[in-house]
Amino acid sequence: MTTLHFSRTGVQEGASRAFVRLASVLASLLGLLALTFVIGRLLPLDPVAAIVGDHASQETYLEVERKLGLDRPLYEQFVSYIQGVLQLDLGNALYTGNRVVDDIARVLPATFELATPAVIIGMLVGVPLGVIAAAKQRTRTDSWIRVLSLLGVSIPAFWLGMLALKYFYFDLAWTPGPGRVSIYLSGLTPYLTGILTIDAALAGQWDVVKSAFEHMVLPVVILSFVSVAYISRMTRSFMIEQLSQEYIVAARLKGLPEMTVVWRHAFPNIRAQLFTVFVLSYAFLLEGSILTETIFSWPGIGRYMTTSLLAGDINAVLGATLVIGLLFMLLNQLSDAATHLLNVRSK
Amino acid sequence: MSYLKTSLGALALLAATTAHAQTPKDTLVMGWTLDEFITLDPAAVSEQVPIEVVQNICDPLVQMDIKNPAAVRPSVAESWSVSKDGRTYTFKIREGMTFPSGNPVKAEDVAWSLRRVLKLNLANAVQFTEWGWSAETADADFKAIDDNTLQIRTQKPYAANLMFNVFTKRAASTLDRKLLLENEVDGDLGNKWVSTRSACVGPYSLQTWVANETVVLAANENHWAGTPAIRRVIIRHVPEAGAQRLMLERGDIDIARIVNASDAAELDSKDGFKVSVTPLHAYYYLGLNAQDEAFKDVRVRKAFRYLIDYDALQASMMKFAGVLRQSAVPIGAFGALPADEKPFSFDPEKARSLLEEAGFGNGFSRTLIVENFFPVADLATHIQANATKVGIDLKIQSGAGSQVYGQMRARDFDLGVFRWTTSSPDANGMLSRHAFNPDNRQEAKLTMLPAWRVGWDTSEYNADIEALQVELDKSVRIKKYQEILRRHIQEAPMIYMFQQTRNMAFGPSIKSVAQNAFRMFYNTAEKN
Repeated sequence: MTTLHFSRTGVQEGASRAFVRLASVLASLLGLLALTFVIGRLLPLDPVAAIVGDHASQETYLEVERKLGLDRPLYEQFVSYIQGVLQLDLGNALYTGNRVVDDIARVLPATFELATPAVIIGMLVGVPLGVIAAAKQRTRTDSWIRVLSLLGVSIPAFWLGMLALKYFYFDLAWTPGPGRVSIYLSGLTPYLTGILTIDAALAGQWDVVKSAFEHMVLPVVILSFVSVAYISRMTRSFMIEQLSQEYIVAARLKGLPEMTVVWRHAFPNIRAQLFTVFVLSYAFLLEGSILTETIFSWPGIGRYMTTSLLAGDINAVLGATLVIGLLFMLLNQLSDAATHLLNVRSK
Repeated sequence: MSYLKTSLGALALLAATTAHAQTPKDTLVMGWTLDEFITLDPAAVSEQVPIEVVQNICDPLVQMDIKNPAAVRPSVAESWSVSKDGRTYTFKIREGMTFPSGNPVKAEDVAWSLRRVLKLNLANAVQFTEWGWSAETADADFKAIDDNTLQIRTQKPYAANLMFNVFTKRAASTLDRKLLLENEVDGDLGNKWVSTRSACVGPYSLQTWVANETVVLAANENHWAGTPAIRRVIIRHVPEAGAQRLMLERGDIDIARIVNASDAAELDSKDGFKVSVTPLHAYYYLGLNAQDEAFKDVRVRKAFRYLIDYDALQASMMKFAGVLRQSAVPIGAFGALPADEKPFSFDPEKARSLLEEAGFGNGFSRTLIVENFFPVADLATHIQANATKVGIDLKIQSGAGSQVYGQMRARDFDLGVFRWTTSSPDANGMLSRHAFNPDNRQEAKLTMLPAWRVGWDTSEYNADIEALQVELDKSVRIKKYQEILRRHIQEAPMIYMFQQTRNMAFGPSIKSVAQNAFRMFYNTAEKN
């Protein structure tokens, strides 16, 4: 009912929409927290055993359980967890001994550093491929592009990563081996953003920047291959839908060149949908890829979450899930807003 | 086209210049996994990789002999004497030593470091509390008499072997007292500060630690044993075994610390490469819950001993994963049975007749719990397959470590394939856990004792195990331990199969590096 009162002017309407959005983000976050928390506690993992190890006595076990608050009722644990989250305290990670917040501040930028160029390449290559495939539907070009995209979706990243290392690092020596930077340059760069290339550039360490870029090549290519596959597939189907519309038929009848029809008439109408695809691909990459990160020894969030999960490190898993969930929601809101804007403009 | 040619040419040139990568001669580079790296405080460190790092940056009071871990060699202490009653140990602390900070090393630093372990009461305090020392007794038991003399009083006249074992452990490291106290927070005796730094007497210091990426150690110029020839040790986080192998073969690392069983055989036969397999004082064993109706019968337990094809396993999947061992004390430990004493072999017929004798001729079904990785999961499958031959139906339930051991600690299992590591090269290390259980009631909750976890009433063993801890005659200890082991191997609800091994692959750059069941000695590495 409140929205009715707000809907008098455009400004108020905007404010009310923002408010509704914020409320829905908060509600989703709470839901996400509750769900992950319950799943975390229901899993047959024993975080106390993960800390005290196999040789500890029952007294030590109980003492640690008490210290962690795991002997308290579930709802009490949940309330104190929420209180912590509100103060940006996600607890301590068992596996690293650090605060989860600090761990995430370390692993998320590493994933970001791979995901961002990968998604950009994904768009730059995937969109034109998709458009071409749609424009040349049912030709040989279309088939090749579709095969490529099928491969990108179906080839396991693990296999592809090992293969890439074998050829480009081991046989040809075109790229450096696994890792984020040369062994001999590791640890020289002061932490600022956590994004090594940027931090090193800010510190004027150009040899580190160069080495870091070289180390990024293979994992970025592998990740972008997967993005290209998804983005070109989606672009193709959006374009095919547009190209069958009446206004396109009309444009063609007018005798406009095919290039103009495709790029000037049809393409602008899929921009909003493409933005959503971009956001989804980006969010997916920001989750981190456990396989790519493992093969390329990349200290990102995907591997962090998986090792934590296997070790029964609930705090770390909850914290990382929360941050990724938050990222997803923010990107989603961004995509909604952009769709709204682009649609308004296309009207 | 010509542009393409030029860039391909440039790439080929680049390839040519980097093709023969080699690590610097004074630097040891290893690929390992740094996922689990919590603290470097000797009082708390308890994960595999950081333990090895601490062992190489912190010398213990005395050190175990490289070849014979049960023997003791000088370290921070250059000599020692034990009083007649076996309760007072006097150590002469090496003169003229300094910490990496430049602070001199005094006997009080050593005493303080030992007391600190008890006062902090972290993971490794148990290495001391097991022998009756406590935070309350620490001040009186660990004392500096003068700048170079340390006196330690024991709670009982324990066998000297056992006490020296304690003094070789990481908890017995000497820390830079002055530096730690300068960096103390809320009375933590420098625990937080030293968890990411090094401040010890030792051949190396921690130079860099980038979480999940790299650990770099630098040689200490003023170490008492001389500056190591290997000036830098770099541990690179490479969690994938396949990627490590590529790096090793390319010459980017000298040692691959994670080697797949399949890669091991291949690498070992490759020119210039070598795979080392070092038996650890750690086991893979089958645990049977003695509270179970079937497993409380010694004959059923014995039947299972005949259901494992030890030799076939050793020749195939365990070739690079374990060393056959059927008795409870590892090869090389004080009081162990000879290496060739293996009374059991695969014999389903014998197993069947034992089961019939026990009234289980028609078999039964049970659930076998196990962790979900090699080789324990594979050993479980092997046992399952052989059990069907005598009508026993085993359902395998696999899970994460904390889940499996959670069930075991709660005695909520039928049988399982488990792992156990002992930190002591003395028969007491294993037997005081695997043949000692002073209270078998469920509510006693002696969960740190595997004998309790499998619900085994060891009242026939307990007194002997305790008596041997204070037996001062070495030959009596050896004789008695062997008698115990020969009984244990026949009736215990633990069936030992293999000693775990530490495998690593050396590239052609490595000439040698010393290691034993307990650690690797970086300062002994020699490169080609």
